[in-house]
Amino acid sequence: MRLILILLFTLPPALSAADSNEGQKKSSTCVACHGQNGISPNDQWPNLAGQKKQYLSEQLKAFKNGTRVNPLMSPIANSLSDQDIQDLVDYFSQLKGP
Amino acid sequence: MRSRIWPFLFGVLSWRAAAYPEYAVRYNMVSCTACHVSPVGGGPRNQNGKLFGAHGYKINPVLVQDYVSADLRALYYYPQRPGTSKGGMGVMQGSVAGHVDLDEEKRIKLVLEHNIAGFAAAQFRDTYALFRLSEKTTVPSWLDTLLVGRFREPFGIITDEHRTYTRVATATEFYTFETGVLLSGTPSYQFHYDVALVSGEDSAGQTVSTGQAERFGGVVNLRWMPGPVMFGASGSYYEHEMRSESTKAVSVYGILSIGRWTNDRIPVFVHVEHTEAWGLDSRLGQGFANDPNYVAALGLSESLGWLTLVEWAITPRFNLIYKYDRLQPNASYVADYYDRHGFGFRWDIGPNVIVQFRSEFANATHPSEADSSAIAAQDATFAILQLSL
Repeated sequence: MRLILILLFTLPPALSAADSNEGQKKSSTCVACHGQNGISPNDQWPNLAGQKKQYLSEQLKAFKNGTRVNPLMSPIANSLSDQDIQDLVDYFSQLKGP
Repeated sequence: MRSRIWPFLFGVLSWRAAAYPEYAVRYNMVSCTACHVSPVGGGPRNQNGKLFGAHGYKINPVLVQDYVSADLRALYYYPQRPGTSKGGMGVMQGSVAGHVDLDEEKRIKLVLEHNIAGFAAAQFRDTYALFRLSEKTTVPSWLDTLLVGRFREPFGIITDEHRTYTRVATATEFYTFETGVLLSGTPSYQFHYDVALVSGEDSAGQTVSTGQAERFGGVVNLRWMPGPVMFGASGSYYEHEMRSESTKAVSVYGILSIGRWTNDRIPVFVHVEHTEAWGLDSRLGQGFANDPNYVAALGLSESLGWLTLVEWAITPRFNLIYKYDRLQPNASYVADYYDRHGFGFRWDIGPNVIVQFRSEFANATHPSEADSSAIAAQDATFAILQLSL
């Protein structure tokens, strides 16, 4: 019983942290354009840090399925799995925006 | 530096303007139009290419407009062994380009690039009308782009690396442009092709004899990128007006991004290329081999080339580079070859400002070339400053 209680209290944060960590690992592709910590170095490309989860998720899926088209984002999004998208969304949305 | 040295020097310092296919592999861009105006790659860049080339530095929005491009490169070259040819400083290239859309949908674009300084100055380079055949950019399409005009030959690895024997051996140096029609397509995000029919009239630069300049033929290039590696194959075939023998060349190549594979824990790129060429012997006499008797003896031989290029991105702005390339001028004489090891770095010191440094150690095994002043047989160190717009 004690073990179950320990798991109940520790597992959710552990899973959440794992997702965020995975997102950070996978974000190496994103930061080349969107900047370290998700803050873009120019006015043409958007910040990702602190962006809404639903918006990020919908845009990445739109690039992936072709309803939104961009020369750089479309091929990159096409290579992402649903899990990759979720991990990236979790990571960038929890970063502090500019 | 004596002016006649330049054609010799650059005949060996083969080079394509500002093309980095390793980034294409790292970021899953099988089509070069992600960053460049031309589907062949190299040459004028679009707005995305300029922004990406800033490598995270702050950049003035004026510098990333989509109408004007420029590429200025200055070189300091120091040959070390054997040493009769001269080194020094000089301008390699000073090209400016304008590109303008003729319609609101941006499906027709005119591009004009002119080299105003440096080697092969006063030459038109990427100068063409570009017709976008698909309705939207980057959506996979069998018929993507049609170019009519003067463009780079879509052959082999279009790389920014200098001094590659594979370029010399296949007559696809940075100053070699062809005039004709090019059709490109990207049927999927993993596959790209280029097919060109060209007339070589007045397009072969300053170091090619008259007989070679008057040629016509075709080029095919295929790229397949199933993941963090890109495989490619190219072939070209030319007939000549002034001689009966045809010219042929093939290239097979691959580029691996270990960084994409490992989420940049091991940020290493590996390029490998093998080329074979038939009937391109006379180019070897243009600053490559030094002994005219040796050049003549090569006749219409089959030549083999190899290139291995390894880049280690210590940071996203600083790459250590190792290069090995090798040329066997006559495939029947395996003991005679040139090879070379090069070490150096490429450093993005500002937005679209690059410094490159190389120290290269060359070796020639043919007796008449081993201690000659042929550029390809010399050890050399060089530094390049590149400013791009």
